[in-house]
Amino acid sequence: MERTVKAKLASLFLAPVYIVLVSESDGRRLSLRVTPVMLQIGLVLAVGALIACVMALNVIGTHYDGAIASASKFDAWETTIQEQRTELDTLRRESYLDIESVLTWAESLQEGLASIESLGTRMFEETGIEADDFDIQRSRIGGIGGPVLQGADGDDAPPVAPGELESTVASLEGMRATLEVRERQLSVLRALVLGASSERIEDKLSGKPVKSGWISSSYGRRNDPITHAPAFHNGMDFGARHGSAIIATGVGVVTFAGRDRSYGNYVEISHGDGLKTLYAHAGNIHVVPGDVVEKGQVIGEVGDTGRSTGPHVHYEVIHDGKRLNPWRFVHSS
Amino acid sequence: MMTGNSTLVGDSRRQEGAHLFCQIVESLGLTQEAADCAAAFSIWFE
Repeated sequence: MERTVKAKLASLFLAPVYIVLVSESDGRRLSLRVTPVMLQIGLVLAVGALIACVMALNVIGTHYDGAIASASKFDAWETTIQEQRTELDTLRRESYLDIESVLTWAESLQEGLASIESLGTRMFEETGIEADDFDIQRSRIGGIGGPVLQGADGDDAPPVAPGELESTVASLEGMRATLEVRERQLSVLRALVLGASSERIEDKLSGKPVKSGWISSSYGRRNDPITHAPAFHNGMDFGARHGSAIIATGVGVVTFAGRDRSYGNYVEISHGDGLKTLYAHAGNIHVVPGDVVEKGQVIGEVGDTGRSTGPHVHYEVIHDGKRLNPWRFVHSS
Repeated sequence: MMTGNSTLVGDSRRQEGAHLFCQIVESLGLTQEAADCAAAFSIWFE
């Protein structure tokens, strides 16, 4: 049986085959003669067509999957872009707020500067001093200005690097601190200059150089506490607790802050018009030469450095190089 | 320190006496005792 089928199939490709078509209505016949060559060509074409169809379907399927993958990628990109846009908006808003604070600083600086200039001008007017003798106008602190900034929603809001902004703010903070010091210094200097022209020296100083203590030695002749020999005491001693505050008895400029064998650690303050005060035997000193100090400002701590028998402040008042009795200044308080 | 008021002059003298006494104590090198003396005689200010 199997051999018969094989033989019949083999005969298809070896001998011509007739395909007879019969019409059902009138019984006409149409015979088609198919040669083995035609059959082989037809078979090859059929197989080829089948392979082409399979390949086409495969290609279409691949493209379809790619299209789906691309769509999901686009969605992800869009989400990322949206997130970045939101982040950018937040950053721009924050930058704008920082810029606003910078502008507030700038306004504060400008107010301070205007105050200094006003004070300086008034000082020059009141004292008759030539403004050129001072450097206030020329040494004005920086220049403040720049373009008007757009709002956070504006498309043309300027890009601001966060690091740059921080350094600008830090710089402005430093400038403001300097300005405050200058303003205070100028105020004290004004008091000094005006004092020189109108104040008596008794009005420049008042009070004691310590907040708490007692007068342990007065000005004048006494027995030296170390040698016990008669000697002249050219200041007043204020016994006080170790470490308590030494305070300036008037506004002035520190002309010395350092150590001496006899005075120990001491501070000298010039109050203008040839008047100076001296605070000796300090434990610690809180000022340096050039500092402008106000009346009542802490300049050091009580100690017993130098030629001293215990914690106290040796207080001197010097006018034109002569040691005065400090009592009249202490007493005036 | 002439104030013209006998009571104040008296107080002032008493203070001067207290100062002198406490300063003598300090001149002996008794710093803490001198401070206590100043407090005892109310010549220690705050």
